[in-house]
Amino acid sequence: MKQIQLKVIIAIFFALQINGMYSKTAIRLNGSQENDLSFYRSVKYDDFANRFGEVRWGVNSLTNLRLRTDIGDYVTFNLAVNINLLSGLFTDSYRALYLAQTGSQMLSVANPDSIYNTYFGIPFYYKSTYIGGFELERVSFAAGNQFFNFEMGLIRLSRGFGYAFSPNDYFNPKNPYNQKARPEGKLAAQMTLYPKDMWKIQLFTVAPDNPLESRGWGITTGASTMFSVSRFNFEFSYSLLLPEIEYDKDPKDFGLPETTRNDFSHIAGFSMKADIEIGFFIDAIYVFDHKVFKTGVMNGRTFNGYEGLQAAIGIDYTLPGGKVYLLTEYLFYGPAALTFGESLNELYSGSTSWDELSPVKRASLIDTERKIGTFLRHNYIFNMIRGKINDYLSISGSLMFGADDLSAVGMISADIEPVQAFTINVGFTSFIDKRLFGDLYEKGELGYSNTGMYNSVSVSTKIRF
Amino acid sequence: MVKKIIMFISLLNCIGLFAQSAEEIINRVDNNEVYDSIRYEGEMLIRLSGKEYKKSFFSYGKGTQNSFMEFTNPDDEGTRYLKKDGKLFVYSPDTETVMPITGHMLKESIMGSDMSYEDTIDNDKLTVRYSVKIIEESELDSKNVWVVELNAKKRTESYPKQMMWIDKETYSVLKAELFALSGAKLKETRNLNFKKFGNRYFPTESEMRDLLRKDSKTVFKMIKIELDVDIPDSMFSLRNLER
Repeated sequence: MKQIQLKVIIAIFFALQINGMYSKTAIRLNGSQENDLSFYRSVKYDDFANRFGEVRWGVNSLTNLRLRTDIGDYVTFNLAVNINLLSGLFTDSYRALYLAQTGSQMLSVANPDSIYNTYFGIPFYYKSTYIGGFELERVSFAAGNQFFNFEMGLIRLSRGFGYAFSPNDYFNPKNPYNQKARPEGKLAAQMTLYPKDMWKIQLFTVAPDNPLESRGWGITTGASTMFSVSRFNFEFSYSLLLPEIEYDKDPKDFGLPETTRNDFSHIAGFSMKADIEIGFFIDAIYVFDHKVFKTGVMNGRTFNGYEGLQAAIGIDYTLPGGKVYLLTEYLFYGPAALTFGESLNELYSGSTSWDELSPVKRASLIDTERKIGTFLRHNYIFNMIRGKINDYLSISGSLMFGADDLSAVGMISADIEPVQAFTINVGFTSFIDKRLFGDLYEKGELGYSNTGMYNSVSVSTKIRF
Repeated sequence: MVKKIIMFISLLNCIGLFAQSAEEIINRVDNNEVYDSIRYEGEMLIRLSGKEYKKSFFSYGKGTQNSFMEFTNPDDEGTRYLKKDGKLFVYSPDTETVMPITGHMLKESIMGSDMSYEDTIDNDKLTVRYSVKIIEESELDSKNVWVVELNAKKRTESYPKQMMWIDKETYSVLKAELFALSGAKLKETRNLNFKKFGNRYFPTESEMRDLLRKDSKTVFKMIKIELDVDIPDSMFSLRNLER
């Protein structure tokens, strides 16, 4: 018995030695903690005629924890989680998730074999004063040396040099309403080769968006390369998107929208950033969708070649002295659900009173032939100015402008850093469209009719550790 | 008579021996400060209106065009800067992206300090970048110094004019003032500590004040310095930046 105990002790000691040998550094824990108190003046759907609307409030507390450990010289383990506490208006999105999940559970019971329309919401729990949410942001390992790196798990696939618009970053599209949103991870494997110091080639495969799909449909695979030449940085990429459902099957047979991809797609991407006194960047992709090219139909209308294009172009500049930063960026978004001259009513199947319903309720009116992407229309301009008033205070203003329907989201914010690693942000956001000037005017994508909000004021704090 | 001639010749020799040209002085400064390669751990103590911010990092440098810096203090941990062939890139662990820092951004403060990006990437020889002249011989902190004026040879230089107080004994820069094209004084630096490596006196602690900021200074300390060590080129690569 004693011998067995001794063997166990020796084995544990040996394991600890190995761990000590290969753990070059200890576990590193970093992260941030943000608290956001927001007040929104939003549309009052149960008294729609009241144009003042109603004031709603919400609190969001987000803790981001990032853990990393190096195992020897060649292997790294990464873990990042987000812990979210929500109350008030911030629970709206969870209510929508709950509705989707409940509906999905009923469908799953009725047809247990179907992997479509089955929806598992983000794990959350309900307690007095808040709803708690938990999200895995990264879980991955990476192994490699100076010439290559292989990583697998929930990873960030970062692409493109665009700031507010980055079509190349299609695995994590930018949120037009929240430039500070955390980048999501994808379940993927990626091999990176470094033939030269400033040249990398990446091969990647990403799991299907539908996590229940096990036959290979929905997988995305591709390659990209990034390199620097003189004052220019280039990135080229190619992705092959397999059909989301069985090849050439009618999505309606599975109870899915017509826009569901049942054929192959290719995405070719190009991005460039140049240092020519000012910073100049291009970030563009072209989507070659077999189904669209075969049928000649996209979003329920005749497809035009330019609708495969998503291209952003921008310049940024810091004024002499380094205190004022300027950015302007233009986006052409080809696959818009609404083309030139179409009104938002057409997105909601011709309804003219869709704006009297809350965004959750009006979802049932959406024309299923149209696919809603990041944006609804073709042309957008983003402008930003950031000025450093003193060592503690900086002020920024930005305007996301929808040129096709003259709607906009304007934001002014002040960042105060009273002590190291602690920031206070005060922000005001306004959702603007022509409708503000009278009911005869058109409802705009970024305005209050569509977003359900007139304006908001928020105070947030952020601690980095 | 012969004695007088000998004395006169000796005097001429002495003048030749001690009256060095400005170029020779700056050349000796370069010999002290410019390195082939360097590896060190560092700290930046940023003092702003009575508050103190501390940043820690480690850094590698090779020649005049390549350097790598990684911050290790908890709130910035994993933020990395790479200067490769004179171009600057930054990796942010928050967004997990590499972004090139374009020329116009080089004047921005690095991590809230009094130093700009371009202050951290200059390692070219002064004799190459500036024409120099001695203004006067003086005294600073009880040390005999030359006061030397440097005027940039190229308009693209970060500081078109510099004034330097150079220790006559060690050829170390004790103090420097950095000027804009307009003649306005932008920054002031003082080297507080030096370490002797062979024949060179290398500054290991310096203080920089950005005069456009109110009540602010940054103390830059180098710890565990190794000069002219073998550093592989792969240290200055995209791979190392993303690692």
